[in-house]
Amino acid sequence: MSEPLAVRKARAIALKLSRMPDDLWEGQLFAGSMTLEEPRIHAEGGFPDYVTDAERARAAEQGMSIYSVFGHIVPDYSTLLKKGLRGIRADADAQGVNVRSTDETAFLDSVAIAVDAVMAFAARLAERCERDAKGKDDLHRATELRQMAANLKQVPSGPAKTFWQALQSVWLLHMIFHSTLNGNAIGRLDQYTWPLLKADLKAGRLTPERAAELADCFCLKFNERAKTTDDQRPENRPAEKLDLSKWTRHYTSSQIGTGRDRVDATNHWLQNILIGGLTPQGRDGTNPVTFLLLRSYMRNKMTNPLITVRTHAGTPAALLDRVCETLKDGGGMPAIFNDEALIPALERLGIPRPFARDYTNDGCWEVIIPGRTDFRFQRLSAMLCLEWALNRGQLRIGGAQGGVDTGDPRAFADYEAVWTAFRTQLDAMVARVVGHVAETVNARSTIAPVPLLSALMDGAISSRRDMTAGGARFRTFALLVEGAAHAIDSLTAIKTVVFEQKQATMAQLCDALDADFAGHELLRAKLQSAPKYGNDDPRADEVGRSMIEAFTGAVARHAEGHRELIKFPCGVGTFSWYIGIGDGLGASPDGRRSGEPVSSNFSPALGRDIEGIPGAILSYSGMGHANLPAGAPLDLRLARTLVRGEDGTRRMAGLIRAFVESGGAMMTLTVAETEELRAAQREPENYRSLRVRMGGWCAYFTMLSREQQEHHIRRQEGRK
Amino acid sequence: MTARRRRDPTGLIFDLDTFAVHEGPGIRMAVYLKGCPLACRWCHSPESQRAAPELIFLRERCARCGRCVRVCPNHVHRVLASGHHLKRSRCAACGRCVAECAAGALSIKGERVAASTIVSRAERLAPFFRHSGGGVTLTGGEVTLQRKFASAVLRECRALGIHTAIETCGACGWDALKQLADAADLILYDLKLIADAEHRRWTGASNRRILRNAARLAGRNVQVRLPLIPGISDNDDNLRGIFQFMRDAGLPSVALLPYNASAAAKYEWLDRPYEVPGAPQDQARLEEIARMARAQKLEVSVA
Repeated sequence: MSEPLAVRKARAIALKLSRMPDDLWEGQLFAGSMTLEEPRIHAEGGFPDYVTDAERARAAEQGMSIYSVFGHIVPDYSTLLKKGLRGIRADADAQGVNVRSTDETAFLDSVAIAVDAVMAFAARLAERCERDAKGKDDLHRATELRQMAANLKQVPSGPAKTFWQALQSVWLLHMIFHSTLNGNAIGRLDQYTWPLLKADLKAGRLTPERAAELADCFCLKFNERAKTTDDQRPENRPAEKLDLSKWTRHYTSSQIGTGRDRVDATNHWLQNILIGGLTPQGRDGTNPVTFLLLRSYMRNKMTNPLITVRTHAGTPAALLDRVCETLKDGGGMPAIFNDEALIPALERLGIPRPFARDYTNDGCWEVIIPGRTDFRFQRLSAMLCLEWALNRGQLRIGGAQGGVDTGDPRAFADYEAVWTAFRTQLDAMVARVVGHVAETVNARSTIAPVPLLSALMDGAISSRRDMTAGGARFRTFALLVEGAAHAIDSLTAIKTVVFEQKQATMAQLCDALDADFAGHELLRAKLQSAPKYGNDDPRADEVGRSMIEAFTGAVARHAEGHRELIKFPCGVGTFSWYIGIGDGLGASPDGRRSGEPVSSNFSPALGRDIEGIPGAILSYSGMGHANLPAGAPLDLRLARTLVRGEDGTRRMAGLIRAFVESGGAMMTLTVAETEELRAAQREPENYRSLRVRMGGWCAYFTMLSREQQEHHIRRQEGRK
Repeated sequence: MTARRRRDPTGLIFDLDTFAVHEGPGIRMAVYLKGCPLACRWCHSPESQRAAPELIFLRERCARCGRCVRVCPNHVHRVLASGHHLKRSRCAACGRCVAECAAGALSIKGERVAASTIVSRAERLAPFFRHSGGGVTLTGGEVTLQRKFASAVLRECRALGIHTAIETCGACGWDALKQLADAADLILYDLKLIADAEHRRWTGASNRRILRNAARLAGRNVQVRLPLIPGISDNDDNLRGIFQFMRDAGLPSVALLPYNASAAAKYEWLDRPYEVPGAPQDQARLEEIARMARAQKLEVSVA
């Protein structure tokens, strides 16, 4: 173990790749598979240990291990296709003369080892294709296999010359990342592969039908890991007790980890593709690959890869229509992003315009600049801050002191006092997280460097630094507000019911919260009928704007001193953990009972957005998205009857255009009827392909826990 | 005060939907006005009929706590071992019991709103209308019963560039109808029964004025809406009669409204009986009806 850590990590990657199976699924057009399992060598397991006991122990003190690779990130696939790995390795070699430290030498060595290992793996796959071709009686398949072998000799080592090679190159790197502890995403596939398809079509190398087949087969690959085993079904899940030791670290989220939420997320592997949107030059980037991918999603009817579409005022009507038809087909795909909101927000964060225009989502929905961003995030619970403000800094569940003591809430004489206590808690939480992140900003490089990803990360090779040591051009750590809708509703309820209408005192409110509303049903009803976020009601929305401003202001203040080191983009989100997040929260002043789930991401509280879909969109869009560059999804469900037929498509496209105009950042639309979801609960066998959008991803409805299923059913469907 | 009132008339509404899809094209804000001159026995919103606020009671939610009994000045509520009984004739819809009901079983349908309030809601929703080809629809109840309010909303929406529509049963004076029709880009006109005796029997009023008004709207953008009530309006004789009338009157467009079976629940809220004699139409029957309409050279759509 005398070699530097980075080199040892690269050798571990090389060792694993040398043992990866090279089998091919019959009929597939892309080599490299994550699921042809040899018992100990498959996607998620069997990574060689490469650290010393001392390194391991030191990392453990900071809560880290060799698995502390963050994933989510989008590698620079555009450069991969243009230069090939050989070109990238040449760049690394050329940096040898500029080396100023042993760390830099180790980094460049680690890149070379990792890149060589990938090329060796590709060569092995090529041989396998050739070997298989020889034994084939089926001439058509033999030709395919020979072409695959030829592709693998060209890519990923060299630049992609064809659309097929481009997809093979991206797929191979993607599956290698996922097989070496680094679950990364795909980014703007239509942008970086279109020049190759265009050339193919022009030269007559490829027909549109064959291109569609390639897109279909490429997308299918992402589902090789799909698990829909019977033990996931709600009726087969064992009852589970909450384990308070499973609180998320640092007391910034109220989530209590459960097997339920983990199993619900079984089929999410961060495999996100983004299509459409403006180019770095500011033109609309829609191209034929954009449409190919949407069609593949409809044809395959699977949950992976996830697709997000970027829209803006000039998005072509043909694309929006296709988006609506895909959404109507089910699964909440694609998610809708709004360039008009996100690009200015990124520019405010300090991202130069051409890069801002090139944004993508990461492995989920958070916004990053592809191939140039080292990204991580943490959730900060606005609901915990409120709970602490109303409970002297103590958690209602478990009783630990999580926040600061902001005084006796029963003595708060006006709304200002409540607001000040809340703000104090929020500020303290932000300060704590920002300080910790800044202090440990390079910590991952001491246990989990990422040589292969660094090879595909703008800035790393030129600065001779691993991405985890600050090598990426942009380094961001997103701070995401959790439980936002309930915090807004709770503050609004205190403001209106207690202080404006004087229907209860603070003492009565605190008693009711302490008792989880037992014996306080009337007060609960009054709190519930107070104005709520999601109804275009200024009384609640102004509180919401203040809350978001307080949060983004606190982040800006505390991040200021670390500007050169790292950026802290703000956002709002829960991902799919809204049920576990509710588990860790006591009763709240919006009338929510202890342990009840919160709403997903920045969606209105379940059942509280009674003014309809447009009201929810208008409230959401007014929440200061200019300061939320990490993103903040609004998850909505639309009853199928509302969007039936061509009229329905037009209505839905109009809804999306209005969303774009209103300035909201992100929206997911699941098209499903309440009765349809109920029927799927009753007869899961008949609804196995029913997909719903869940947090940042998409899931098979019948494989979700009862709690998740109920959450989807209770979500507003826009129908009175 | 009076002067302001005249400029900004108020209306009594029982509902407002910001994503309505059955009340004209695109995404629409539908405003449901309370009060109707007809009393169709199948009416799917019975709470639309009375021109006054009224108490809604969701029996299954009642926790029988008895708070409503204590606060009601008119002794409307009685909570006995046999259940929660309401003496509705005494109810002034004052809402005191609603404020005390923790279970959410009681509510008032019927809210007085200013035309300007409706217009500013519509203005907020304008992007949704503009991008989907939608707009505002005033429906009911019966829109012509509140003509000042309706006319103010329609005129001001139109001034904002918002597409306007009304839905009417036509049982009104021509002046009122004309005033609103002049301010509407689309008129949804309900026809139910062509035989006057039948019309009287099922809706409580004659259809003569309705048919006369309909004919006078010829040449405007009118869509006739025909609710297909099983065993009442969905028989061949009636349908043929209506289609014939439309053709003669020069009203070329008809929308068939298949029967909405969920109406019964709302009658329960109001403690009223509900019964419709036949079974809902199947797809084959709907197509047959559409063919009958096309035979009269009418444009047909099915809602």
